[in-house]
Amino acid sequence: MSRPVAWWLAVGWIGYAILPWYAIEAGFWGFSWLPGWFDANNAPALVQSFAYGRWWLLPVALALLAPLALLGWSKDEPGVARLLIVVGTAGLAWLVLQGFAVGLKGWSFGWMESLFGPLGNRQFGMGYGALLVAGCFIVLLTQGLAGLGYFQGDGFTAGSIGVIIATIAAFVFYPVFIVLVSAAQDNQGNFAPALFVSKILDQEIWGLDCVYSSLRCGVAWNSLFLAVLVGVGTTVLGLAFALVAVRSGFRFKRILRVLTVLPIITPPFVIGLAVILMFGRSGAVTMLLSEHFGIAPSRWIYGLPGVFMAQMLAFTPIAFLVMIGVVQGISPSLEEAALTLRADRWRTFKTVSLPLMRPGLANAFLLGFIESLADFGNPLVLGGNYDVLSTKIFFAVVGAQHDQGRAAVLSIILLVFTLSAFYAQRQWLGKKSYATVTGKGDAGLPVPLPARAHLFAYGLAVPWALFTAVVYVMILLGGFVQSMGRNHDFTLRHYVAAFQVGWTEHGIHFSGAAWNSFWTTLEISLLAAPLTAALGLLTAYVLVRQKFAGKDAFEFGTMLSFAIPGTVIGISYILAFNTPPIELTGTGVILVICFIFRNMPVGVRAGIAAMSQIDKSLDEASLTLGARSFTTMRRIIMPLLRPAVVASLVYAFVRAMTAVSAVIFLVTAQYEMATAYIVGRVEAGDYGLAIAYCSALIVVMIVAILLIQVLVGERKLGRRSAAAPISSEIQGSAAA
Amino acid sequence: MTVGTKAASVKFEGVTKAFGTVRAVDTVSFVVEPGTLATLLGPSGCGKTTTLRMIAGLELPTSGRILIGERDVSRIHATERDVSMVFQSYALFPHMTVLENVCYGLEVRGANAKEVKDRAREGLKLVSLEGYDSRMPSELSGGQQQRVAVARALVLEPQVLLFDEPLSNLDAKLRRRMREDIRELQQKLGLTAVYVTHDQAEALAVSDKVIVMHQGRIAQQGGPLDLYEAPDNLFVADFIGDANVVKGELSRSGARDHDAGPAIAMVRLGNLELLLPHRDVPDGPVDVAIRPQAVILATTRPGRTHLEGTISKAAYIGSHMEYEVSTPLGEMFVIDQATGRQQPRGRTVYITFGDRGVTVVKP
Repeated sequence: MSRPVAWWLAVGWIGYAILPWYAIEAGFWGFSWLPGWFDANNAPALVQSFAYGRWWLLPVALALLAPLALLGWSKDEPGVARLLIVVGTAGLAWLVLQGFAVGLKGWSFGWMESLFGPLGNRQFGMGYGALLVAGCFIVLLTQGLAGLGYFQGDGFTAGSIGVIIATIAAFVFYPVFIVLVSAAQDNQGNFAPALFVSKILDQEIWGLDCVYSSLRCGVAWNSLFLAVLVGVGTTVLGLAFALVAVRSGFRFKRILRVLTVLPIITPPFVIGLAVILMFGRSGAVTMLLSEHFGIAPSRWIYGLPGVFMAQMLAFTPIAFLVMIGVVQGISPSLEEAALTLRADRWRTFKTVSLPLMRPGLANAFLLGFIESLADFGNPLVLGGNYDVLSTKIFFAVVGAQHDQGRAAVLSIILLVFTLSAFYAQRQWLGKKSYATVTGKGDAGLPVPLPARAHLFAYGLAVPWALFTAVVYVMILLGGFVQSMGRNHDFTLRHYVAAFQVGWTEHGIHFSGAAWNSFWTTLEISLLAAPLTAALGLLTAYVLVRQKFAGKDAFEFGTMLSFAIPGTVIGISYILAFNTPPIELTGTGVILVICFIFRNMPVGVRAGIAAMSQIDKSLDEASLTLGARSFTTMRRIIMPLLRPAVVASLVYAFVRAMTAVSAVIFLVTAQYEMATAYIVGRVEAGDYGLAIAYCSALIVVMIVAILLIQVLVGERKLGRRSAAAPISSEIQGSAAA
Repeated sequence: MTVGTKAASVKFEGVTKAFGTVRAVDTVSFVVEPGTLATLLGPSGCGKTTTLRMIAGLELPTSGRILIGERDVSRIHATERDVSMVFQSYALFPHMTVLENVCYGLEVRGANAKEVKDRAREGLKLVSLEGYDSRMPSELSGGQQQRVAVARALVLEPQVLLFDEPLSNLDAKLRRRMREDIRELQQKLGLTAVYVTHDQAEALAVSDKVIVMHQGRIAQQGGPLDLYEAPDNLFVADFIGDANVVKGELSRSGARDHDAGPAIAMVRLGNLELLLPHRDVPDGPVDVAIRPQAVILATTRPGRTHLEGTISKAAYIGSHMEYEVSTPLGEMFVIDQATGRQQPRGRTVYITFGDRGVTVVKP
């Protein structure tokens, strides 16, 4: 028996015989279960099965006992590997089976009751004991597979893949599957295909009344129309910005670059809020117009115009980021070639540069399209009567309707839209890249923009950049005035209301209204960030460095959660994790898990990009020198991956701080998140406090980003600053 | 403290490695005796690197057995094999100093810090790099990096030491010196070494045994002399040194067997008759490989049987002349050491062959 197997077997026994098998209501880490360890709620599985009649936990012990027979055997024996596979598979299967079969009311399914008779017993959501045992079975199974020579015989790789697949299955595929199932059920849980058909063909979703009458169109058309508008708009603006930033002599390029960072640290609905403060009925601009030009204030901003404006502001930087890479990727030599073939600059731009950018433009469009569909915050605060799918889903669950089936149906439609776009992006664009960046140096100089393109780029980019700047000034100033639009006197009252700190005899007392959600947000984000980064980078390592059957499907699975809109994740988590076997709603854990699996794909991307630049022979050298995969990862790959680690940590932290769409379903009074709290304030019309809180969040994030950068540090390559003289050196020491 | 060795043999028994439907290595069997250096030689894509990586444990075979010493390692991961490898790109860890690089393998195997340092310094001394301890790899020249990589692999006293085209990133002069150094070190320490290269001169120069691979299979294995003088097939004849391959007619009847030496047969090339070892090739049409150096050109008609040809191309290379000669047997590539008398294009020449460098090729 190998060391990892022995070690994990011990972990499995701790989980089975010592730790509480079921989830502890008051929280595991409160250790309230310690005094009443033998109680029916707190006891480990071993006690549960003998003392409390939960006999279905006994077979787990069998699966944990079987490997003990292997003590003293050499792990090279193929029989050992086979036994581990059998035990691991059987153990996992039994865990899942009993989890689903026995629920809060005994047998979970009617047919089981009629088959086996009433159970007269029940069980709750699984806890840390069950978690450890499940982990143990996964390790046994994967070690067995490695022992038979799968995954190059590497136990660490096999284990990593096993853990990633298991967690993604549990926290991405299972919830989405539950949404699909519940869409086909009525609200009593009976299978009702007819109802499903009528729901999915509902006039409210697919109606086209707005084309020929004054009535509203279906919500699906609304969402699509908005998404196409935003996709086109952000792509055009992004292209303009990129041309200015890369191909012109613009003097304030660095300021333009700041734009690319803004959307990362801005909670998504903050833009919407700022738009209200400017153009709302009592907004600053509206007031100016009515005072000086006599234009009556109206609510025109609530609806398509407002949402469109806010999403354009929010997502243009993303398109900008994509287009910078695309414009930079066009080889100047190609343009020079066109010029020497007697094409003038405009013709060159039109016939060479633009066509080369086509895949990039399509990519930017699809990103804007997906982001717009998935956006929840802006339509929520600005939508007015213009319903979109993401908000409809929310109101179907939260509002007076409380129709989970309807929410599930709407989720499926939204999911189909975003997944189609995601699929198109990967399948169609993935194969059709005109990237002209090669290993060869390109001696060409970028051709200056033709006058027409120059005019287009400047005419769009500069005004829009100014507008964006004004919006952010509004955000920062909004918290310091009495009431934006009406009374512009300086005040600190919003900040005091949110962040008041008092002193009592017990020490500091955080009496401001925002503190509770602020600390929760910070705590959850700090917990989620390293876990997200770790899982993302581990996945990237497996994807870049290992060959195994089914790798493409594995990659698609890990990237899938990127295309699932937050609202869909939120609703799916509520539906999936409200009842055993995994019962998490109302806990902080569900928030952490939600963040991990929503934000992991970006960590994976960053990791893949960085890891592809590190020569594979470096880790092979480490392996042949006798280091295990884990050691190799820790001592060789991680130090060289510092930039990617920083990027993943920052991104995971910031996204957790700013997320709203999924979170709003999962927060409770105990675990209130900042964004959900702010949205609540906005709905109550308390704009001052909301915007003050947002500014504070932005500042916290900037501080955190800087802090992470300092903590993780620079990677030490000891490379001379001059160009490396020997080509092999570049291969050996990874690109910067 | 010295760097010793635990040299073991390497044995492949019918090993196959398939990637999807492609068989990168196809039923390969060979033995590398302890303390010897064997070369895997072949053009790119022939499976030689995959074979090496299977010895290292970086790839596991699809079928067949691999033994190192007496141990079957077919299903054992690289980490758990006692094998170290020198990579084509050296794969020095760029964030560690030279000494840290050499210490790494000893450290992760859990030796104590003092011993690790001593052994690492010993290793650096072996490759004449004392005093470079605290340099970063990027501050070394290509040859020095190469030697650090060798030291790093050596200090673990592996059962087998592997080299993956270790010299391909060096310039021609340095390459010759490094290959001599590697060979010297291997013989001095009595290491078992397996060496991958696509350069046939390098292979002949350093090896006890050369394993020529072609399309995933072993084309021939043996000592350098065997391969060059008695190639088993056209591929080996052409790959190791150049060869003109011409069609001939073999018959045993016209030949007298000597008492000693190999069995001789008569080979007819056009109007030329040669006595060559028949190498168990049956009578009838046969391919004959002729080394360019074995072709003797003369401007006057020689006394013995000969071929007549015309110079169609001539190039002066400095150390020798290279010709293409049109003959009744086809175009022939000829190397002539006599740079003093250059033959102009169009000149008629008379061709005979030297004693060595002409051989029948097994079908």
